[in-house]
Amino acid sequence: MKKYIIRKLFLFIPILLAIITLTFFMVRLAPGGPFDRDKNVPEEVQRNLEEYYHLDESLLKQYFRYLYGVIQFDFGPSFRKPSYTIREWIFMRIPISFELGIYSLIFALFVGCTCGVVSAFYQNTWIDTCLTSFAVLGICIPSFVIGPILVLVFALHWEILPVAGWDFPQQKILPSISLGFIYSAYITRIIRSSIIEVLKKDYIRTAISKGASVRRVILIHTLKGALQPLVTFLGPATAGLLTGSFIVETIFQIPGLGREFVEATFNRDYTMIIGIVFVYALLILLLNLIVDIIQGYLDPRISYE
Amino acid sequence: MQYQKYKILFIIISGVFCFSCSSYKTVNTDELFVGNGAEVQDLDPATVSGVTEHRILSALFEGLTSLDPETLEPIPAVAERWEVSDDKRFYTFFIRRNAYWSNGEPVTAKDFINSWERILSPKLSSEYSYLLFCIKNAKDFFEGRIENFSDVGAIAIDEHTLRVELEYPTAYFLKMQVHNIWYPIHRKTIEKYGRFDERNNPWTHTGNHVSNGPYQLEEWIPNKIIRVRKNPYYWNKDSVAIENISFYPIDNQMTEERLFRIGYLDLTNTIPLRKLEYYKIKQPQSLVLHPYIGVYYYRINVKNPIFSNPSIRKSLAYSIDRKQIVEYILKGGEQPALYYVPNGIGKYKSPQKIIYDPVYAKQLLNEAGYIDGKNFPTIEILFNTSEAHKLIAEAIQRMWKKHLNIDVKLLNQDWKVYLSSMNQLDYQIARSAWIADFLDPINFLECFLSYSGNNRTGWENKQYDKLVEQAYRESNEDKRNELLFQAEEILLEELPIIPIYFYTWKILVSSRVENFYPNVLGYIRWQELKLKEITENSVQ
Repeated sequence: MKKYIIRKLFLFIPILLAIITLTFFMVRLAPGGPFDRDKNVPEEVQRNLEEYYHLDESLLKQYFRYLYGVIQFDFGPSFRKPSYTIREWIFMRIPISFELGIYSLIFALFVGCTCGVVSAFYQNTWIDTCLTSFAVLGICIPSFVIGPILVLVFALHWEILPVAGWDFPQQKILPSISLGFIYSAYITRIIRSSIIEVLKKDYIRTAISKGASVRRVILIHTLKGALQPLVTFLGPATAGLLTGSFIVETIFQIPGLGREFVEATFNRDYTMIIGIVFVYALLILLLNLIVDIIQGYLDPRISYE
Repeated sequence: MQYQKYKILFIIISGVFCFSCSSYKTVNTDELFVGNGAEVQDLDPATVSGVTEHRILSALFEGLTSLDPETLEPIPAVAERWEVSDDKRFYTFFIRRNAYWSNGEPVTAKDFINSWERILSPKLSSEYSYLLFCIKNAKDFFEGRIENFSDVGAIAIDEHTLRVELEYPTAYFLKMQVHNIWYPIHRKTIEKYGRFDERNNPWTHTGNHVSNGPYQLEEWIPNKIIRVRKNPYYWNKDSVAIENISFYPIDNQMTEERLFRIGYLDLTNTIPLRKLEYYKIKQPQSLVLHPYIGVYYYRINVKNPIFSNPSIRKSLAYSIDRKQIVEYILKGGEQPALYYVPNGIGKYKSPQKIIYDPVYAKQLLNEAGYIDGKNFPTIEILFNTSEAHKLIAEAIQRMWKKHLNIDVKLLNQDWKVYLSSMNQLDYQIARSAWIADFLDPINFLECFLSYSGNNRTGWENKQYDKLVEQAYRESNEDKRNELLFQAEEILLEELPIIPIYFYTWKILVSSRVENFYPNVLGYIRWQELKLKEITENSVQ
């Protein structure tokens, strides 16, 4: 197990290097630079700025300079926000995206598991049809539609929740639901189908024949067996929740990293783009590793060799 | 029994939810809440260049002079008075003895000199450094031909007297002082946190920032809030009515409007196009629509053989029905642009050269050899991705097809790609705009000097250059306006650009804000605003 984790961690190095290299050269391929403005700046200023940020050097030299910085966990200064370094900026913003991601995950798991279990429990009844329809609807409606609808109903019409912001607990409800909604729909479907599949297994039949109640069978015996596909899904889903919150962050005015990522791309803030891509890549790799470990615990047949 | 447990749990959760929901709204009479568009780049007056930054900096800092928000005439600020030489090249400013920094130290003439030296230092690479080039030798110092800053025409005669020598009589010198590039800085603070002439300096962060304006920085949480509070050392602190101002960086216009609607914001940065009608009918008292010194126009790449003939450019310009565009697309009180420099800048009045005459436009095209638009190649309008730009481009596409029978393709590009295309003259016709940096017609007309980086059309005219250069040096206002008028006449005759409309300043202002004067600069004098006592119900 330890060996497996160490081997995986070593594998991270070439993967991250490849990601940094690709991102570094790809962002440079995009037309326009960080200092292009609507109002022209004098040539001397442009030249001095490029010199200051080493943009006047050859691309290869810049690349190695950047790599040297990354080894020391220094992603350089932001081109757009000159008084902050990328590291400061990311550390400032990532906890907020994390918080939003975790709340959304809790919401998605709670709603998804409940609906999934109920749906499986009342298989082929009107309740099942309703919940399955909810799941299909949830998968189809994107967060940029859900978000404004929730705001319209809860914030503007009923006035029981705030429109936007990220200070008080109440402000965190609507964004978490908007972001977690689609995942709760996926989880509903996954849980429902895997429970139905597990219900057909011999050990469940044994449990029922021994007189265990249906509720006990579902909650204790079935759910554990049904969790495995959910865990497989949760790895990328968590990464998606933590990193893919751009739209929700924009609608609800949340100062997270997702919004910054898109802004940085529009502004050609090279160092910021690579810094965020690096953090996201690291996060996805770590989450996948965690999923591998959890799966091993859930299913002893999985080998780490 | 088990259901009973769930019921209790449900009641508890609902109770907590309802309780928390009932307490989130607060109405604070001492605090103004402002939507401020995109997140600021920084709070350093020397390195920032946007309107969003300027709005906050004008609360934090104060220059030698300020502007009356109603008349836009210069009024005393840090300088209690000033003297101007007869040839208008020498300005002597007398700095108030009761002007202090937010740390209690006095503001001196040297603080201004320090700031200008920093801006002109090549290492800092301030994007607006060129605004200081009107000071004698400033350009030479910036370009390294002079090494000693004492050779530049700004001298602190004593702690409270500042003398500025200009290269030429700059008519707009006093009005320009409201721009953040002219603000003083507290050198010791900057040096405490880094190098004086370096960009990556955290002196602007919460707890470090020192300013001399009516407000001082209380906290800056990036992408969340910038809160400023009354500066206890401000020379005119008794006239500052509002204790705190919170600036929120809200780039989503719809979110901003929703926050305004529920009473969370007192002032917005803008208003979404599709909400204009609603406010016009339901809440006209909140809607501010005021002419703004900005012009929306189409650039023409005159280096492209199709557009090298001025008659063709004229034909395109004369066949646009601007009234339809402002009335049916923009709907925000914008004015059709039949000239280039907007009205409202002092005594200057532009020549009205452009007309809407589709018959004459077609005749011009016929004369250029394209009878009824035949054989005229398909042309392309480039714009940066935006709903409004697209609607306008579509309208013009239809007008040109209808009146001139020419085919137009539309091409939208991401902002930076679009800028790159414009800089490399890799376009045929491109959407553009100019928002003035200071209140003077020359700021519009200097863009089309043949050597200006803002030209981006390939157009050059020696007579035009000569007239604008003469205007730089002319001290008599009437003569100067006449020179600029002649220059604009050339521009409108040659038409390397097609003016479309003049902007309006479109914002929402809550009913509790008093002393708010809309003006063509979109300039807000924060220290003069007041808040009405208001009950919670009436806010919603």
